[in-house]
Amino acid sequence: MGTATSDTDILEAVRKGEDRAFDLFVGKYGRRLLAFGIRMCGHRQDGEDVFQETLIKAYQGLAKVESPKALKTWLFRVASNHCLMRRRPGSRAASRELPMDDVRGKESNVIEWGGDSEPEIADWSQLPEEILRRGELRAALERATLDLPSDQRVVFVLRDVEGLSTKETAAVLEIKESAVKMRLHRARMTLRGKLSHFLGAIGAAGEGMSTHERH
Amino acid sequence: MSDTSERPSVMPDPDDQACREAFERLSEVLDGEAPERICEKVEEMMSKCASFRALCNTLEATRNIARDCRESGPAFASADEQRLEHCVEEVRRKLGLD
Repeated sequence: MGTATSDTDILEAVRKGEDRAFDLFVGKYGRRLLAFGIRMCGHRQDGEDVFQETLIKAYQGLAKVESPKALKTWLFRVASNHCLMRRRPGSRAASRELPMDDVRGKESNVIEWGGDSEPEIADWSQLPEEILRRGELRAALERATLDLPSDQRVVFVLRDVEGLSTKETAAVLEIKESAVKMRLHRARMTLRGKLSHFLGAIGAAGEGMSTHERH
Repeated sequence: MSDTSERPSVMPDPDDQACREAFERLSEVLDGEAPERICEKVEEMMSKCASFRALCNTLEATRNIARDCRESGPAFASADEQRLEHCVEEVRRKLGLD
């Protein structure tokens, strides 16, 4: 499962019909696509199902990918489509979907500026590193990600977790870069608020937070 | 954050287009993708308002925690090597590669 394989190597092996082509492909992208599927679906079995569907579809279509530069975005496009299809109404995870209006209405994590009461924001970024790097904080973020609308969730996972650029994310989802930026910002704002709630709830407030965002 | 003199003057006025735009494009600033005029506006707002500064800082911290997730794997479900191999074997069988 090495990572030194280039996309050029993979495509050449596929075109030549080499036996090692599948292993090269899975060795480079397998773990990443599985993690992506689980994160997007929020459920291991669903994530594994999506992963398998993605691998099959992708491997069967690899020979059609003309440029190695296009391979990564094409793979994530295949994976994203499978994930989003699985989360349509009727799918196991669809009940987690919340319309953005509901998110805004029920939680104070989207800050509305103006009006009579000025929001005061707790700067938990100043908390000690050992708190900010705790596994439970990452877990809280990942759980919160599942409550995002799917169009924001996929952008957030691709950009901030998988590390794709804005341009790559736009290419994966076949949307404009401006749409990627807007969805990413809305997702981050929602998640930022949920982490504030979480840190307040676990008592991190006493270790550095000091304002109205405690809950 | 007890210095209230910092607060009200910079809370974006709904009628102030530049402030609203800075707020809405804050992530672009963090990612180094915003135009210069937006970056300057955000800097100005940060220098005047502790709450806005805290918002910027925590938004950046949120992004950084997400990056940490990349290395650690999905937190709510194991994506361990054994599960990966099991899935790959299934796919190999379905593709007739075994």
